[in-house]
Amino acid sequence: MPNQINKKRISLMSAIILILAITLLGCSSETKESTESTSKNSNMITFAWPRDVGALNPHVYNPNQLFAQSMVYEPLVSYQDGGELKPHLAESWKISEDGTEYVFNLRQDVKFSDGTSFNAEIVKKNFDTILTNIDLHSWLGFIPKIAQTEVIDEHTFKLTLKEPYYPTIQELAVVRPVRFLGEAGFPESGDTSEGIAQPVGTGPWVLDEYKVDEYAIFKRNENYWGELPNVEKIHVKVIPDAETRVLAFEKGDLDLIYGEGVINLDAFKQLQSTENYETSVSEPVATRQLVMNTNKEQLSDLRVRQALHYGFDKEAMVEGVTSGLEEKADYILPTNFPYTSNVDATTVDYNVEKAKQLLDEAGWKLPEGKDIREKDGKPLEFELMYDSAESIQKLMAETLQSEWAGLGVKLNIVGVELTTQVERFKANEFDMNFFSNYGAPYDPHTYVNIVATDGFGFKEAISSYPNKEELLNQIAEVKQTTDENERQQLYTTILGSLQEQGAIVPISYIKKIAIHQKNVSDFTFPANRDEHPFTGISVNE
Amino acid sequence: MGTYVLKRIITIIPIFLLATLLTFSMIRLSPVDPAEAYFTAAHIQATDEMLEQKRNEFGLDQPFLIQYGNALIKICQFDFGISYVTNKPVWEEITSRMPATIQLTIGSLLIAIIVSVPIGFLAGIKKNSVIDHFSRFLSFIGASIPSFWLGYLFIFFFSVKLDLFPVQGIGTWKHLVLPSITLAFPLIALYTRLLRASVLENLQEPYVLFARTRGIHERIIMGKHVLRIAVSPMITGLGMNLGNLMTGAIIVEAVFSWPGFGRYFIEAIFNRDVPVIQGYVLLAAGIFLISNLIVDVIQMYIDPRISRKGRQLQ
Repeated sequence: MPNQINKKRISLMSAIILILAITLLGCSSETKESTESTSKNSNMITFAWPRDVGALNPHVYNPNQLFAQSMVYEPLVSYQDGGELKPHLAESWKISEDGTEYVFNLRQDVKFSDGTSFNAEIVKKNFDTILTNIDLHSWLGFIPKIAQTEVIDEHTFKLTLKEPYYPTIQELAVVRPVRFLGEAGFPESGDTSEGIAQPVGTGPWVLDEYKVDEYAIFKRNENYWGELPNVEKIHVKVIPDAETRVLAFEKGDLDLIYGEGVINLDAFKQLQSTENYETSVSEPVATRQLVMNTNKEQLSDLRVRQALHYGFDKEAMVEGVTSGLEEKADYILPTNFPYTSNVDATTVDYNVEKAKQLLDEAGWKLPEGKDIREKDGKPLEFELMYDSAESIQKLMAETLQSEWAGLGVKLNIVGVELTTQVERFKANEFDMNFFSNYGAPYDPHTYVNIVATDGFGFKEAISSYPNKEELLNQIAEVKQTTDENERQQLYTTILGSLQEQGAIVPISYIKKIAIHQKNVSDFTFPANRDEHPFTGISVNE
Repeated sequence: MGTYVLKRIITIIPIFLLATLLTFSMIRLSPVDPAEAYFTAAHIQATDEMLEQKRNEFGLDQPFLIQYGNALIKICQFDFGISYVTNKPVWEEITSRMPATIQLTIGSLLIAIIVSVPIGFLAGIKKNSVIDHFSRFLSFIGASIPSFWLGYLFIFFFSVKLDLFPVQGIGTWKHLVLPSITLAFPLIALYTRLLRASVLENLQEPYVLFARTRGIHERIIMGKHVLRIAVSPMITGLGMNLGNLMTGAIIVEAVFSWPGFGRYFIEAIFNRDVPVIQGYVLLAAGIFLISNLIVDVIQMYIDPRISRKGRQLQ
């Protein structure tokens, strides 16, 4: 009897183990093919990205990844180094005197990857589907201003705006949503916000193989109208974990790591120090700023704001916290953006004595035997909030806390959830906060626009600027300028004044990093912050 | 036996309800406003009217209990809502990633059993021997090393240095080795100790003495009788840990880029994709409950005294 039970059990157990083993084998054999085929190809760049590339829909946002969208789809105008706007799918354009009509002459030699031609019809079709979802895209300044889209002839497209808006050309360079999907990519309903039929673009790359959450392989578009890429394929591996990306790179599984915050700073430094790889750091892509709320009584005094700016060693802090991967910032926007190169503002150098003197002048004195300055019995105390998930913000907050303590200023630092940080900033419930601008190709106009718009936090934060009204008027005016010189002058004044009055403290210029194996050459950072970095890249076999 | 199982199933219902209530209220307690999270995830600068409209659409303006009730009805139909990020049903998103997670879980479960049964058993019958010390060492390591770090160590030695296994990804059986071992490690530590203790306990039982006096060969006593009974607490442990395995997979999947639903969950947290977070937590609760039930049933099958006890109490 016990023997029988035993036998039964043994057979049951072996059956279970057998089933499990078969499941395992079954699961594992399906993808073998693709991994083998990819390792054969040597003229290929293997690249890691934290997330799946998404559906490659040019007209929607998350979870589509910008770099991947920019590989497949192209803009009318491209944003180049120093903010230069160059013809891309549009050969040239003409803007009417009053700044409301834009006529684009499209390139005639452009074909979509499925062989159909790129023309004014398809440009209009793309614009129209974007405009049917205007709420989704109204964050992009020129979209809500579009009055009409017209096909003039096969290769001429006309865009009419309700009012002049100079950044239109610059905004046409963004990665989404104003890039062009081929006819075959449109779903039956014609509304791309519901999904696309297939990713058909004019870009240098075509999606070849794709496995969600695992990898995407792009092959070069052999019929590309522009300069054909040197490498045949780009293999994007989805690796969500930063340490794993580093390990995979060290093993040689990856040719390139690129981006912002894609690996931690120590790992970058460590890889750099081995000298087995090539590392590079980009031009500034944005500025990390400290925003002071002038609605807060103590911060409404310009002298206090200036004192705080003089009172910390910015250069040492940025170097220390970011291991030199960010650069000390003197201006609230990087100077390689359009109209930002000659801002009229005094740069602030670390000067503790001056800081103390300014605080004394403002009436904040250090009472005998105390560490914190007081005025009318009130202590000089602030709260700085930071995104608790961002180690750079946290370390900087801690540095400021200790630096300012030396001046007799008490800084309380509080780490919050990102959404809370944004909400409190918008609701003006903060003393100090970190912020960074969008970067190329959105600035400077997007930044000044945010400053001037209700409910984003800045407009309220700068409310005790004596020239606030004038600033707001100038910001409204600059968007409608048609004269280049006038525009430049306005920006110089606006950005200068915003900075001079000390509520927006530039901290550091944020940069991108890249590390690649030695056999990869001709790597360049894209000027547009969101674009892919594969233009011109090559690999020696 | 049937009534026992039925009873156990019935007790699951209130527990699951409690779990849904907890998840639901916890998400409501967090500072994240789902309407705002929706627009942030979709990259839309929402106006106040748009937010209001979304709150209305999500039913956030209704009393808590009504919201809860509505959610409950939907959950019963396996409707966990629509992901804010992908606009696809959460259930679909989770189930499409299930096979990978199940594959990983089964892999590590097999490894855990294959490694811990012989070691734990030998450590028990040969107390204070080399293998016993080894099992102790293994247990300390397994219990104290966090799995993400263990994962990195494995990748560093077995993949980067020795080039035996791939660093990350899914595909061949080789891809499965490192993540499964990483996930199995804490289990091995636990089961080895559990089995060892259980074997030692059984050795004190009169039936062992009796068998020895009957002159039965030591190997048969150990292999056939002691092991069989000693394994029983391990099965309980197994069931309790099936849920742990699923959730432990979150970290392991992230480290090894394993495309399962644990990794998807992490992404959802970063995107504040509330329906996905809620769906995942509920599913995890469900898996815990069901695996416990299954273990109870298996144990009853092995040791019928359990269900008989229940009957006696009646």
